[in-house]
Amino acid sequence: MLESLLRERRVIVCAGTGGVGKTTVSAALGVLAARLGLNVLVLTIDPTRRLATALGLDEISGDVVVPGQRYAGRLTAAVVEPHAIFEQFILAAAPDDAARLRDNVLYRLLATTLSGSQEFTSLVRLHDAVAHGGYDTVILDTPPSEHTRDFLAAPKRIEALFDGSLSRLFTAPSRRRSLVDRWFLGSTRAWLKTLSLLTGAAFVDALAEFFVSIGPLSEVIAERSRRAGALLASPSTAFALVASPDAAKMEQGAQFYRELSEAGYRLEALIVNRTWPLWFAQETDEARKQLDAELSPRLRALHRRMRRYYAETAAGVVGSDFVRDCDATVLPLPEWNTDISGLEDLERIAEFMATAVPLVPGASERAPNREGH
Amino acid sequence: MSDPQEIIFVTGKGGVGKSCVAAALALHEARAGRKVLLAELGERSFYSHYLGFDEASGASPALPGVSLARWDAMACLTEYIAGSTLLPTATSFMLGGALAQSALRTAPGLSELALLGKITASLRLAAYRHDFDVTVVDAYASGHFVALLRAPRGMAEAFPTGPMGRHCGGILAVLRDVAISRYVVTTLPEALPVAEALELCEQIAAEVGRTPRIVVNKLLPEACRREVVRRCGEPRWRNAGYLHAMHAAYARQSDARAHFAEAGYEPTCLPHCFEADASALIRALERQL
Repeated sequence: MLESLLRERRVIVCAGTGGVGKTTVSAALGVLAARLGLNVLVLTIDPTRRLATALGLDEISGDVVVPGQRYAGRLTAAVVEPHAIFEQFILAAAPDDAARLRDNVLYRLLATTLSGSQEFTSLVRLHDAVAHGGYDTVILDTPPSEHTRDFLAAPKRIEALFDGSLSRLFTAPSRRRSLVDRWFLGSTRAWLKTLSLLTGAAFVDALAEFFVSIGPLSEVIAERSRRAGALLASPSTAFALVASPDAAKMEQGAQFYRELSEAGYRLEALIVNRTWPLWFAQETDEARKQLDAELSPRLRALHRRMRRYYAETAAGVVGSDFVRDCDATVLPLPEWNTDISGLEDLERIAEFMATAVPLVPGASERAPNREGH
Repeated sequence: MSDPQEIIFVTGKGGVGKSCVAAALALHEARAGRKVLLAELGERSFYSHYLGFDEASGASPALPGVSLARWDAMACLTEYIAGSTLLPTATSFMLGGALAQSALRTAPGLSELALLGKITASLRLAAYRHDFDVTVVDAYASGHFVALLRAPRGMAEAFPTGPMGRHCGGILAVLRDVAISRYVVTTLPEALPVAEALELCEQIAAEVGRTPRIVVNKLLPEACRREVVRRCGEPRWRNAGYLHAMHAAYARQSDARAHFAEAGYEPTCLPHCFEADASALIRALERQL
């Protein structure tokens, strides 16, 4: 059950592809945790303006105690901001190189494209929160990506990138010749020459300078990444997958579950968002018959059609290989009538999560784990 | 005299039905007698799973007259490098090794450029000319798509001289060309998706100077609205969850349409077909276009 998950784990990572409602679900899990008496931090990625307002995030940066709350525990929220975090990180780790790095055109492009900085900064933030924040529970909303495994792979990929070998590749013994000349030695450098023919020498120059500048940071970045990776793999971390009920997303979810299991991680909850509208879940036989009897043919047909569609969707979720094979708690959430505009809306979702009967109870044996890592 | 080839980029927030809308558009063009390529971007194929699309043959029984392809950014980059150099790809990368691969992957913008290069190749380089009249691209969702569009300008500004700068210029010209490129933003008739769609339209306009067409998906049939509103006003239906939910949904739908009208858009409206099967859904959507 979600309740025991929140009590027993230190970190809950909410993964899932874009557009499934991860940020909202993460925030609702935070509310649920606070209601249970926990001191909880929700790290969001890209909250909508309304959600940010509801959480008190629009004015202040950093960790914000969510205003207007009345829970047994305490709910704190923060937004993961890649540029800011990356900058702070670089400034702290290598102040002398920071200016040069920031001026490197590739660094600027890197910070504005989505090539891994979001995953890295989320992980840095997570690690800091767990290590120094004094929270019972940290809930991490992950960056939207086509593949939920992108997030998992980030620590290793970043480690590989910044373990120093790349900067050694670009560091040349002699400073007298131009940067580009110096690398045209050896087979690897011949490849760089190839690249420079395509992209121009200036690009390869900037690439080289980027890796040289990042050299001093390599150790720090790689170490942070390693620690974040260890945190993800720790028994006190659990993964919750947020999906939508359509077959494509469920299939992606199944794939993610397989990848997680193979890598030794734990998927403990599958939350299927917007599975069916609330009216469908709550419609009594009596109500249905009344509608059937009294609506016009057109509206009756629409009602029937919609019922059939949502029943098929529900059956698709329940009958999917994924749900049958995985041992995670499966909780379908309904589609609400309104957008999330305030804390009350999140509380409604949290209440539903607390009281709904999940489809699959999930593994009942779970070692409570509050150790450090 | 032949019309210039066209490219239609279909984007929108994740989860709004972008892929099905793109497929419906492709089917529509094919039904009009044009030769169509439907290209999805990314490492995983949606169409192969749900439409019985065979990657080898590039066809699907669900989409007669449409050829399908899947393009992945890193693969395009590899292809680009192989095609532009004298060395075969395998050798290139062996020489470079894993570190070179890492460097390439990190170098921002390169793979995006390669992808855009591939999408626009037929329009720019005689050697790459294919004979499709229309290429419908099931593109990335909002943020990723904007990042993709920004890559050429970012690169050209950072590295104005050299071969890459020239390619960027050519690619941008195609993306901006009124006769060639069209942009479709898919959304839902709800407050948040509408606001995001309008923002996305602005961002696209800022990058390529083009105003996207908006497609609003999953609309409720207007024919049932009046009865729903009427019954909701009657005490006997006070507890009918279905009717009240529909009432709220119709209200959101009106608000959405009003919002678009205010912003000066006349969106194409597609109904919610309440159809779980992708092939059937795409056929149903196509009939509405």
